[in-house]
Amino acid sequence: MKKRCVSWLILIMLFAAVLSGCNSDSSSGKENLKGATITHMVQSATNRPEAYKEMAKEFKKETGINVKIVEAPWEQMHDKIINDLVTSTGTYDVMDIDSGWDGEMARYFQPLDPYIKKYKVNMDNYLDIYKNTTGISTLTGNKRYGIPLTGQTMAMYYRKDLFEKYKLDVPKTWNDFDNALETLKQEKGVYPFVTAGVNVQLPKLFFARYIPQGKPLFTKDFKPQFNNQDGAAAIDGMKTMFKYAPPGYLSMDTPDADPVFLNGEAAIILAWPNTLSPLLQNTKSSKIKDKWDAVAPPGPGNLGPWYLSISKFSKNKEASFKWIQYLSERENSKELMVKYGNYSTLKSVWDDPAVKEAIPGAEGILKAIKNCFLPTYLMHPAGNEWFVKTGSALSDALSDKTSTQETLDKMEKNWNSDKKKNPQGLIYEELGAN
Amino acid sequence: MQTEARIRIQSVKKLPLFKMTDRKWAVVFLTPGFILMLIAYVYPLLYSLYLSFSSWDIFNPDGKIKLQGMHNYYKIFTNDALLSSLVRTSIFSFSALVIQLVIGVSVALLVTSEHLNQKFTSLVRAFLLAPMIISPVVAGILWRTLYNREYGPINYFLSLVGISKNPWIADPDTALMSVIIVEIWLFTPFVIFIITGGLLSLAKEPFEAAKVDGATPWQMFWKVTLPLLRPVILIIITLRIMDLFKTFDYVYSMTYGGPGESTEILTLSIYKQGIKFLDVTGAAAASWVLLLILLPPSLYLLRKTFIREGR
Repeated sequence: MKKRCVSWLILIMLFAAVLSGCNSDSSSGKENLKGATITHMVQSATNRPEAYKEMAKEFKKETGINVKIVEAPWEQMHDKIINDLVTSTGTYDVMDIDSGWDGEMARYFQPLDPYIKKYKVNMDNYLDIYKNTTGISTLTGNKRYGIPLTGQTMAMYYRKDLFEKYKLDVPKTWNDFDNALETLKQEKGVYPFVTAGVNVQLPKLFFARYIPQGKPLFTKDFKPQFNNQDGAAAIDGMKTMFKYAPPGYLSMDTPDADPVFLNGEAAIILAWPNTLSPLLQNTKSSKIKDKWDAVAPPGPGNLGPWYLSISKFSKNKEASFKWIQYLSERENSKELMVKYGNYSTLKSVWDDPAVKEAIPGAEGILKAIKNCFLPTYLMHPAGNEWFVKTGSALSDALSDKTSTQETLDKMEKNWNSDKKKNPQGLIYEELGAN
Repeated sequence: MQTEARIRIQSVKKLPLFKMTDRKWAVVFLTPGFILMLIAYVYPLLYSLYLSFSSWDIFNPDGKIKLQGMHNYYKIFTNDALLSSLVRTSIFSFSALVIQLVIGVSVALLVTSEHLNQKFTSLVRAFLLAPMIISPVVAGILWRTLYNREYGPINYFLSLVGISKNPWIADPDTALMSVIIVEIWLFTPFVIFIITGGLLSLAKEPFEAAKVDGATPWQMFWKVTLPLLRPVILIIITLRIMDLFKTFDYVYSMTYGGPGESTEILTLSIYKQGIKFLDVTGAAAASWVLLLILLPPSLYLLRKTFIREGR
């Protein structure tokens, strides 16, 4: 009888041990996560997949956790992730997320505050602009759902030699900027200005010209505020600066505009730095090596941040957070920046002299990042649709298909007609470093 | 003799039974395919029909699908952007179709001509295959580069003969025309091959008779060739209309509907509405409208196919 009881007891203990071993999401410690496999969705056409694959090998040695990297281009990434989240599938445990998708996705992400507390992640190590704007919003009652990974904003690159030749100061206001373009027009064979002008790039320029006038785009409860003189000035300002651009600018996306500046055929470019900067100092791709500089543009660009999130439907949340924490460590963040061109979100990395040396124009780029903002209409369910339609409306204005006032009316009408119910908790803010 | 007759009677009696077994086997083998078709085609189709009459707050994880009648269809017919994209799609489709037919018939006549060197015509046919083996998405990216105003080869070659740089896809006034050119480049070879096949299969007697009657080449084309090719051309028109209205991939990779909305065709609008703006129910309704537009040519094609098979 006694033997039987002991046998049963052993059997039950074994059974319990097996059960607890199967639960990879247990928070009890490192050894429980060994052998777990997590899937990480990454944007292709960046260097991140390559970097992650390298880092995953080291991570596996340290923790025993396997990381499977899945890649997709930006457009498809959004569609794949949203399908996975809406259908509660949990195919992707960890995802690189573009902040512009927050409105659609934030509620489907795992709240990270308990993990941050448990693994003692210090959010004060991040640049304020990221700490305040990225992976956190009033949508989730300011509970963090993402760890800032990388980000950038438009910087203004200009030709130092031409500015010296025409005795121009670096423009601090849009007015100075427009005047500089008029002066630079004298330089033969050089367009004074170039930037990407496809639909999707235009709203960013509108915001950059609108925001310095001091009024928000919306009221706190998302009533449009831009259909006025300030909005008209922003559109007219865009028309002015594009008068100095190559005529084909409406079909130029970000990489298409870069060669014009690299070939020395433009004096100023508003561009996203991580693709342009490395090319500028390379003699094979640039005719203007050492003749340029990068600064913050006269108006704040919007931040384009990416963060790392965990799906609410992931079965490996603990292992997923360990991986996120690993990627966010200072040395890995630095490697992602220096070796793979993904700007760090950590203060200490930007302060590192080796980083400043490795990233051409680093100081100007950092100033632009610190100066930029993130409008929370992007987190509104109607935000993405309004953004895309605003791009179309501005494109029509620039090609003189519609007048400035008609464009503003259209932008306002689009917001009001698309407007879905304001999500609970979300207020309109233009979030920045302060 | 009697035994032989008995065997024959027995085999005749067995025949229907054997046939029944055959049918049963046919049903057994067809069932998995049929179920797969139900799951892969019929269910999504019916589900999208259900969605088109519903509302769904996809932003809310607890959001449920609710039936709401014709609201999504009403929205389509009061949505200026969607109606404009329908008009744009019609202009795009019919212009491309007419040009493809004209070029298709002309080139097919050329490559089947007895007066031309056979090696030359074979070479032309081989060259025509090139656009057909390129993926439309890649073709979109390729043409985006070709059309580049600053560095594109098209403007470069035009400048050699004194023609000034054209913005092509950067100008709302020329963007749709530029997209039509790509469509023609991509799919005219398909038209040429089908018409070439049709021409090669025509009987020679009517042509010989016309020659004997003293018909000019022009008269031969209008009075003999075209009437004989009519069934082939009708099939091409049907197939191309269906394809043209469904065009998506290369427009997506080349212009993404811009500048403004100048190249936003119906499928691109539906894609943006459903996938980008997550108005899944509205996009389902728009897809059903597109399906209804394409139903008459599809039915025509089905009828033609079945009549031919019936013969």
